Amino acid sequence: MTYTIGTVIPTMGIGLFMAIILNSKLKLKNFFRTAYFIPVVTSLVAASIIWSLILDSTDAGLVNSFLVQLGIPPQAWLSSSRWALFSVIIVNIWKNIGYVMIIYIAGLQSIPEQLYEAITIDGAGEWEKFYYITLPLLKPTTSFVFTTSLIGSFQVFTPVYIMTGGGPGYSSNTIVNYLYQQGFQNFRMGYASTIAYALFTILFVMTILQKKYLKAEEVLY
Amino acid sequence: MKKFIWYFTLIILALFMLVPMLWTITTALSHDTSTVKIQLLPNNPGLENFINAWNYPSQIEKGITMGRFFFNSLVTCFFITVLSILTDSMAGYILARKKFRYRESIFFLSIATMMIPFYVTSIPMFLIVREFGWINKFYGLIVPFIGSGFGVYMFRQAFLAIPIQIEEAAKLDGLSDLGIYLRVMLPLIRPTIATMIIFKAMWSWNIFYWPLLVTNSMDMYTLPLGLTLFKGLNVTRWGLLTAGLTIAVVPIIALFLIMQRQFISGLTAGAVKE
Repeated sequence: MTYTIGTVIPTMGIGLFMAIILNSKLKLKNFFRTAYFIPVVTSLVAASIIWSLILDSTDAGLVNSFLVQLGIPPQAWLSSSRWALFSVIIVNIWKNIGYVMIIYIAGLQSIPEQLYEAITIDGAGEWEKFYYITLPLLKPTTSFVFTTSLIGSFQVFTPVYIMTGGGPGYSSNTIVNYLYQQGFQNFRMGYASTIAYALFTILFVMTILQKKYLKAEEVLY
Repeated sequence: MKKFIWYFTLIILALFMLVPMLWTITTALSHDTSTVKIQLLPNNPGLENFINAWNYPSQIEKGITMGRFFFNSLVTCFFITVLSILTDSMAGYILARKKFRYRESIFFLSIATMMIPFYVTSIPMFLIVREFGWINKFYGLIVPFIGSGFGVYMFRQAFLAIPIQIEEAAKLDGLSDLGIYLRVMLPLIRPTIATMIIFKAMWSWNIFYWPLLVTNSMDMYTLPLGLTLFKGLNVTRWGLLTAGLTIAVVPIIALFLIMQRQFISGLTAGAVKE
């Protein structure tokens, strides 16, 4: 649950923020768009391994060697119950921001320019523009991104499996990794099936809720 | 001033996104060392790490290089992409155009499969594949994925958007159903096909969970699985590790840089309402 909240909200926040900046007429915006999208095409396995090198718990890791230079003691990013989940979250944020950003850019481009012109004539500043036009009109996009990321975050497996193995203890375990451990490492297929059903039920309920919510939120302009 | 702040934020974020990749590549190009440095350019540049990494799997099992993993991934990816596009588009065509009993229910069932996460079906699927004796076989890697509700849905939508008159004209010219599908309809939905190729290829190239279940001998590992071998390495061999990762990651990124537009439409397929 911490994992879900910890990934979904920052990813969406940063994704939306970057989409807004990169939807404007900045020079170099195509370069930045490409840069942010590169992690999306990177394979999750490779990304997880790269990040486990960067966050390596001995003082040889990139982040730790940096911390040592700053005079801060190295942290056991992957093997302490305090940081393990956080490390997994970082990888997912890193990987998904670009995707969220692209979808938000598409959403932003469907907002008619006239609305902004109208509100500018009414004397609104940047912040009002964002609050009264951008945000409400992006609601369908937001709701889509929110539910898909929520559903996706319940199904996270690869980074957990590779980086922490769900440990230490159960501190960074997720439903799917637990399913894998029970079914394919302990060969308790029946138990694993029960977990699978639980996962399905959760996701099914969320999908239904999304359908209802989306219907109610059709925006007219 | 506002511009400056924007650029500043953008650059900070770009660093967060790009540094992991750049660091991997420069370390891979450097002379293999046991200490790690934050460096922009490789020191003592050379390709020895790549050769070592390419041959590294043979230290665990003789005669296997990363070439083997590439080959397995390519075969799996190719067949999944081609076969699933074939079945999905055929099913999509029939469901869009032909009228028959239970058509709606069949369509509903096929899109309902999208709601069930793969992890949930993986247990029965695994048992079936094992029953067929497809563990460590390409069949086991490929066959479960030669059709998907998502593909059927996308193709059906694409076919529905084509005016029916075109088809009637083709029929008058004496084309058979198969002829219409192959020579008239498929060329008309070329953009959808391109999108789906990217989508399927990316997906099957990166799939990790399923090969983890159905392969356990190294000569059947796909690339993502092969990469996990490097994970078990002593972390002080930075050069070797990062070279292995670079070999796996760079081809895709290069492909992405060349065909950005198609990639983005492939990866966001179905997300944005037109």
